Amino acid sequence: MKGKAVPHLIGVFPLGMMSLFFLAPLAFMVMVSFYERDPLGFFNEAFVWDNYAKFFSSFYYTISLRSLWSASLGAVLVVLLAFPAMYIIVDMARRWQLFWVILLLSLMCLSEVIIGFAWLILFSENSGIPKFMGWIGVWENPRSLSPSFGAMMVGYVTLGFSLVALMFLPQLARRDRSIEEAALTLGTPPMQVFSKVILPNFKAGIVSALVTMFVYFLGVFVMPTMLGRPQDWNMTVIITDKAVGDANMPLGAALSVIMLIFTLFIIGALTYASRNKDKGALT
Amino acid sequence: MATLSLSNIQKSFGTFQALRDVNLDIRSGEFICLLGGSGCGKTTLLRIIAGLEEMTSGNLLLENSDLSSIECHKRNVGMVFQSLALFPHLNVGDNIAYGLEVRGVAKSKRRQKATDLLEVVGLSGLYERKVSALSGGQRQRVAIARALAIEPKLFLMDEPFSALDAGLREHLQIEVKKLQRKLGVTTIFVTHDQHEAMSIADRIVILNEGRIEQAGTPTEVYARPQTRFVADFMGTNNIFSPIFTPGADAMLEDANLGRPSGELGQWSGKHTVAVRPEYLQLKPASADSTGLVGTVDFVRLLGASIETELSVGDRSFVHTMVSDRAPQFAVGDSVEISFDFDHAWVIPS
Amino acid sequence: MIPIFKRLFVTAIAVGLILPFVIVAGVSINSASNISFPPSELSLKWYTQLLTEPDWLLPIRNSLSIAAVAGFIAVSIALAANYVLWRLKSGFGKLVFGLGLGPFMLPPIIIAMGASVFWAEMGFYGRVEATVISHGVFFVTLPLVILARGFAALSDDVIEASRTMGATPWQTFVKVIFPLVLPYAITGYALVAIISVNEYLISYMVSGFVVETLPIRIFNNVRYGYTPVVASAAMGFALLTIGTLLVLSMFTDLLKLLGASRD
Repeated sequence: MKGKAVPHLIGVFPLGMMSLFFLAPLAFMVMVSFYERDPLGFFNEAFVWDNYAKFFSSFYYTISLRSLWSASLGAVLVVLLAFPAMYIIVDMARRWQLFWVILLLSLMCLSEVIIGFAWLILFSENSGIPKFMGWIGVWENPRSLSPSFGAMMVGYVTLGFSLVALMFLPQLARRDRSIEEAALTLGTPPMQVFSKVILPNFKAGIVSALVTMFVYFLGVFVMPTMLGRPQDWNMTVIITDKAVGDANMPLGAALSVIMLIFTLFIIGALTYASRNKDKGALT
Repeated sequence: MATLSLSNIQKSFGTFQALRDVNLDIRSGEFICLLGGSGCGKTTLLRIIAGLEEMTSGNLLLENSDLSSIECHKRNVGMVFQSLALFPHLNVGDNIAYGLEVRGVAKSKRRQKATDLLEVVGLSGLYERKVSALSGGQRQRVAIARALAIEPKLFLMDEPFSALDAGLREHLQIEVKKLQRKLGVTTIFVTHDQHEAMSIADRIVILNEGRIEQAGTPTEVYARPQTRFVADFMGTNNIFSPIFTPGADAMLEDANLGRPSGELGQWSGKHTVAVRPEYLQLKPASADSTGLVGTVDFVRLLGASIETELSVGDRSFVHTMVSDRAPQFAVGDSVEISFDFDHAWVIPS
Repeated sequence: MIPIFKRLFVTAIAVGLILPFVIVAGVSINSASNISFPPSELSLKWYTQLLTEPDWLLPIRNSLSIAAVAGFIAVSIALAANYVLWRLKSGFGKLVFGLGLGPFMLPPIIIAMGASVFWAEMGFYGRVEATVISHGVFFVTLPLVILARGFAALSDDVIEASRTMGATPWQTFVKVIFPLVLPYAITGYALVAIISVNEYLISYMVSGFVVETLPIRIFNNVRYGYTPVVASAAMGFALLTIGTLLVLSMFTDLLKLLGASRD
């Protein structure tokens, strides 16, 4: 058909931009991960496995496990809070929904740095919760609550909450409420409707939110450095530290490539699982 | 004896009065249609009976015991929702068996019951099928079977067929009616479609602005509408208010309608009458006609009948006749409209 | 009992999300030069400092100019990709669109690392252009999905109607399509700009040591001993973000845009 040439031509622009500035950097990263570090500049062209070999040491083993643990715990906590909260919020009056949407959008846009800083102050002994607890007499010798693993988790949850909540928003707002009413008329006690009908129906959405948050938390940098102790730091902090702090870009690239492969594997597994499920629906 | 008795039911949402003083007795095994336009309160009334909505005041008795104090999940009413509300995460059979599962019925027993019901609604062999893989009509049947599986005291349906095309719709209406007769379950069916109501109900309850306008058999509400609203809603198109004088001709403004026969001959003053389209007679108007003279606005062939729309001033009339002949009149023709007062129904209010 | 419990739960979460900023606001208007709450004496001196000292003004200017251009790049890529998908429906269009979804699926560190290596190799490491382009490309996903809603609302009939009336494809785009998707484009632009202003990791890894943005400035300040100016900067940030979103909510139906309305 006539007129298909122009759209193709226009398509070259986004395609070119994305290839050049999104795909090419990833490809470069893979290339550089085989380079050698140049103590005076960035790196020298080479083909060595050294950078990858470094990953297989007890140091990186611990870091990896720690990253996985904090990312999965954060993901579970966020979804555990966000799903029921949005379930309640979507049935509130319109202006309250708007209030929440603006609050969530603001938080989603707001810098990690700002959120981390706000919690840092709230956790500090001379202005936040510890001071308040000392003031009302619950805590005799108030000390700062951060840095700590708990403080870091609070930071994770604040950071991820808006994202997950906005993911659940359309699904929950547009759900067919008569399904819950049907469960009631069929004899389900009101307290069980949530577990018997709503949760199973949103299983796919919940799982994908968990995975999204897990992947997202693997890559956070500011929260661990601001609110966590050095022993809570995740792989992202180490990568940044190596690449920028030690100016060892090849090592940073290699570690990133490992994380990239891991992420792609998780996304692939999720897509595969959901596709299989869809197939099951048709037979 | 009344199975379900509604008295003085009121319901308001904020300042909006959804139901005003609704009184209705429903007999055991009766098929009731709640009929009305959108916002008339029919769905609200159904939801109050189901326990999904609380009434503001009034009494709701089932077999002489108070139903309103019982929570929805303990009422044992089977309801078919407008969206059907099938559980997407369960297969067909498990959807039907769901109500039995929450009642703690043993697995083999509820499986048996669901299989039996699938046969009743004509879906044998689809137990394991995903709900999403069913056609529209099949889903309707699953929703009906699911509601009936709990052997409900009341069977409630909220415009269940509104999303279906006309053919399938009529087919399912007949099936539901047959099924209901076989099981003898007291049924309340909400619809906005008067044809649907006429074809399935034992008794039609017409609601308007939260009030019952009329409750009666389909023939009653069609032939003897008690209010102007009912006459309009049931499609009795020719409604007008002539002035009657005993011993004289009835007059509609300047038009002479002739001498009323029978009881009507004794009436005096202004009364609203309804004449069904098939009882009007048309003939070409002559220059000296003193009767009701109108102009043909539109003529259309409706398969078995020919419908002619006419206007007299700002009043409109509709005439239908069997289409065994070609239309007698064309658009723009001047026509004299007449009718026999034996076929005129005086609307009481 | 149940509604009260629900309300309590939701309120607790709202408090948890808002409280930190109340404290920051309190700190930012306290005249004491060490961070403390509640404020002992009110003063706006930290805001004055924020808006007069070059130490803070430069990062603010950097952040705002990066955001302004990055938003433009992201929206133009998203607009082109959506137009192509909408015209071609499949194949090439889907490829272009799918590529735009990529950045949001990967952890930000991978993207930041990739960008850092890439710009180092290109000789642009530490240049503001590098940050601008990287932001523009990596935040393309937001305007992409938002514009997709706009294009989904466009029916083919509209275009065919325009063509039967004798409009060229270009005229159709300028006079019909663009006005209809403009609200979505503006929303997308605003969101990219806000996120760009707030972004830390990519800016830091691409040109952090040379081009100091506001988040980098705040982060460095917090790490190496800080004054209440940081609180006023954080507040300024939060207010700017919320303000932009409030203005946005007056022009567009945010609930509908996020898919929260029921039809």
